[in-house]
Amino acid sequence: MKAFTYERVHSVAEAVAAMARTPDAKFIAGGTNLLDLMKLHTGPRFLRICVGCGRRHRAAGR
Amino acid sequence: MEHPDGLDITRRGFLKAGAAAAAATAVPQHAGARDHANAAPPVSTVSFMVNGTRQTLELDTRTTLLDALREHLHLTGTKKGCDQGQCGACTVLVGGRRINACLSLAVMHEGDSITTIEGLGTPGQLHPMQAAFVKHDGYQCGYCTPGQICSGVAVLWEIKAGVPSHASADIAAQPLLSAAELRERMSGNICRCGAYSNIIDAITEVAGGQA
Repeated sequence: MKAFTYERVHSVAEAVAAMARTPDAKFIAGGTNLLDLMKLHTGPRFLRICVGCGRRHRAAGR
Repeated sequence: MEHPDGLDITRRGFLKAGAAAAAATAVPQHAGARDHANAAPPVSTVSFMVNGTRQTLELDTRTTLLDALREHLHLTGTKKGCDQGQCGACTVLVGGRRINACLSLAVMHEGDSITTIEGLGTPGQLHPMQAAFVKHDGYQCGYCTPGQICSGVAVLWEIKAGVPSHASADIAAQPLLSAAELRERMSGNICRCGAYSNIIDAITEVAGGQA
């Protein structure tokens, strides 16, 4: 897998700002498809996760 | 010990020399791989609870949760089957929900509470799901079993919580504890020995239904 940096953000605004700084970044969210592709060496150099969005999704499931 | 043909060598000395030679040849290869990547890989610190114990690890960001559990914490009960989310052997519980640990980066789990098969029960005090798998012969080779058991535990929670599945006739109604529901919900856990019917019996018994 290609090396990448990982950045955790805590709000949509932070996520948008971080994405603007690094246009080739990707949101990993649950990660099931992106991580699969990254194992095939086709992934991006940067990863970001939007925690705010993730938590809302989880809360909806409960 | 003097060797008859004049060579003063012991078996232990020979093995030690062999190991040193192997290490010497391995180092340049490793350094070469690093040069190819052009820099040391980014490292991240992550802290989470595993089976009730706080763990703080410094990991290459590429480390999956599965590799963190197996290779760094040496919790080898969780198995690596396909490493691409198709077999379910690596199923663990995160906050009570099941996930494929191979499709999740360890660094994504900051602050999470993770339960592996080692945290469900012990040989002396089995989790009811583990006991039911033993009773109903819910395995043959056993490789998929830790994932099956973790999945089974989460399935019963999902049904109780009213989470619908593809087999639910009415997604707004309380899901049934039927074999069809259980088979659908357990379809992400593959058992190549084919212990499926016994696995369904075991889960049904734990759920309090008729096995």
